[in-house]
Amino acid sequence: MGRYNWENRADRIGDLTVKTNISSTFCFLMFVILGLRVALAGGLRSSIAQRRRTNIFLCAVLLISFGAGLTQHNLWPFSSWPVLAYAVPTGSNYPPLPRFVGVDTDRREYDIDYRAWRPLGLEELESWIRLHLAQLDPAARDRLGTYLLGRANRAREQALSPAGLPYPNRWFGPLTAPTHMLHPAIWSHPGKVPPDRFVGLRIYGETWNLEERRRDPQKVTRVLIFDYRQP
Amino acid sequence: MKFLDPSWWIAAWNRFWFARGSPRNLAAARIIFAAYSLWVLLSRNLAEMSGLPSVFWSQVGASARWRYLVFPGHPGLEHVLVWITAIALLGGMVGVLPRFCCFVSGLLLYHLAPLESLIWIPHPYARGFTISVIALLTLSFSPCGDCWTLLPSRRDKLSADSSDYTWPVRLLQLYLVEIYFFSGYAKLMGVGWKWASASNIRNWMLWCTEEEQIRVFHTLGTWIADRPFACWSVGIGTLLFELGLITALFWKWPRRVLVPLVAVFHLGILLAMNLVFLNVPQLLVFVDWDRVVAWFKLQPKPDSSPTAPGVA
Repeated sequence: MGRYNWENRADRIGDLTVKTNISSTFCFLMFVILGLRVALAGGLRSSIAQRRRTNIFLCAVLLISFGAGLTQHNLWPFSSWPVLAYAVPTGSNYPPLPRFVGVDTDRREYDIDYRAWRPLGLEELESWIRLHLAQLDPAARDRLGTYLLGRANRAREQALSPAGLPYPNRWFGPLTAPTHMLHPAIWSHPGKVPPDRFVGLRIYGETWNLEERRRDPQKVTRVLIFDYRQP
Repeated sequence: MKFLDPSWWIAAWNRFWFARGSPRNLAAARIIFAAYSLWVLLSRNLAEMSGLPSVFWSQVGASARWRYLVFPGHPGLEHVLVWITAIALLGGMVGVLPRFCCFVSGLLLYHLAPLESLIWIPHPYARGFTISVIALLTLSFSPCGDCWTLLPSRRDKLSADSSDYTWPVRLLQLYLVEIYFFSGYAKLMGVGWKWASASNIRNWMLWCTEEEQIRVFHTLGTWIADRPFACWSVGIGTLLFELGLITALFWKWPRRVLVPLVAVFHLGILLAMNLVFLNVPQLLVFVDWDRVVAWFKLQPKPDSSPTAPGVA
């Protein structure tokens, strides 16, 4: 925990967010209004007037989308697309990655299947934890623990049932659109599902040195950042 | 010196956006984007995000909530909106009030898509709906219902060939190409040319294969990580590919070569880094659907205008 200032990061993002939200909303409204002018231009008699409206719309779209991309300000839905646009450090000096484990009555720890957190995606939950967990007061942390523990236990029961953990869409089944990051479905077989109910939930912050872990997969530094016990 | 002549630029602009186009390409784009968006929408539980405990939403600022009109605690209402969106997307697909349906679904997806990530970030890019929102709205502003509709539109008999069919398809293609161009640009701006270095690519491969919570495939990633030449190739190839794909908008041969390579590119990323990019089916807007139809001998000879969009 001491290696990274979580609260400063949250404040910095918060300041930027207000300006970005206002400018993004303005750009989106301009896009819709100018687009509607094009859509309604069919009623105009003059084809020159129609073409002018289309040209204005196209110029606006180019300005907004290239403005977002070239300045690297994300004006969603006009995105700056900063996909993997950073260097990965070899060492372990980066924000710890949260890892969720359930704890049973014998204090044994088990990894939890990513599908337990639905409707939350694992990457969304992890990012939220990294950004906001440190700012929560004790009562909020308790509410968080109660919720996450409840989800984990419910998923555990579903995974043990003959039907297993369901897909988000029962009609699509395995053709359900995956999330941006793949996650191993560790509770796909009942034999791999923890047999006993969880009575606690812990979140560890994990860091590792890439080269050291390449040689020894167990070479991970784990710091307990959240420990919830069922009252 | 023709580039200094404004009339050359005006002619180039008109040639690019307003060449003679086919209503089929625009209709195909409507079906592709509506079907894709419906698939992703029904694969998510966006409405239930609104019902998350208040602790998750407590850090979301007012500006973000008003930006998307997201006011948590109303999962029932969000469920209704999801179903309206799904019905509108279905209408867009089959061609029942297609422009209206595209408009409604585009606006509603602008509201619904951020639910997936708003608890920590206000821009849900790379989660599947970014291009869909602007694409569906763009389609609604264009005569996308002049072809392949269940209910024929009023314009159906008016314009068999028109420049009105070109600019929307060009714009959709631009949205897709921008993903790669800005992705490459962001790497250069954020890291510089060192992004493509063997050490950085090795670190990326190692990180994606060592992080157990995303480690589904690992063979290809570790194979690349152990070979400096492969790392250099991946790094330089990625930047060249991402920055070069924009040429597919202007010339035929990059369109024929690079656009299919996008699917291979994403398959490689999936197997090496466990990252999924859902938008791949949207690249079908680069296909010339007149030729496809002609190939199936469903229609007479296609429009072979060299400037028409989607000539793959």
